[in-house]
Amino acid sequence: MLALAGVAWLGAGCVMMNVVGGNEVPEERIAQIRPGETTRAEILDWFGSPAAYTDPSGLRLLFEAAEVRPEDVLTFPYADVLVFQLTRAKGRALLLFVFNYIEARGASDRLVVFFDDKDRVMYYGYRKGTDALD
Amino acid sequence: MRSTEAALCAALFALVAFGSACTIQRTYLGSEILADPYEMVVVGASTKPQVLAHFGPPDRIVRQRDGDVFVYRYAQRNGFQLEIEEPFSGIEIFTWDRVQEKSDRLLVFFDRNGLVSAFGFRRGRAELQPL
Repeated sequence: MLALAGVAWLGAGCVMMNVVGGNEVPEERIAQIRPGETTRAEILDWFGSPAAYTDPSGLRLLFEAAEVRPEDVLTFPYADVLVFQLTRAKGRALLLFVFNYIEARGASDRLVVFFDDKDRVMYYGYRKGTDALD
Repeated sequence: MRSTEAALCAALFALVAFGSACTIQRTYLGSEILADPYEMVVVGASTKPQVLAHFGPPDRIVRQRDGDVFVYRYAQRNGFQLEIEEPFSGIEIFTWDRVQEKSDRLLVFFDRNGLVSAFGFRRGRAELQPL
């Protein structure tokens, strides 16, 4: 019995993984967005360069093996919408020789801003999706 | 009690000796759909800002001639694999794989004025089997 336990112990392992892609979306700025007032220039100044595509390639590759991967939120060039996104993935694995458990989760903090023809914010949506990973 | 222990020992020995392994895999992607669209979305009346307020930014925006489509998706993949190998040669004697991939998916269609013209919703993750 001890020998069996020894064999099982030697085959045991634990893996944890944390991957981040994209830039932080500064939450304190989101409260300052005023539809009808805030301009595109201000949005770009506050949040920096928008995601040309919102799926960081590292995470795409990570999920490709599992055939579950994030889709591009928006294929540019739609000048009236900007997307700012931070994507985070967490994984953990318990490897016990005869039984293995692998779990991976991916989520994004995402801000989508729509502009009118005068380059002012029409409306926006924000969600801090990475909170669910903690 | 002794016979139970002996049986357990034999079973463990058999598992190790034959190099069998069972792997359970769970993959989650995206965020839960925040609200019930049947309660929150009114065709012909709900606006884009209202949809953004209820459901957050979409995972995908599709541009159509008649207006945008917001796509929300929360995907889950369940995998289960049972593998039995011959311990000396490493030849696989038996492999059983089961993979299920399902999504909670919401599509909201807007007309040119930004009003909801239709929506479709399915809680696909509820159809996942435990293993």
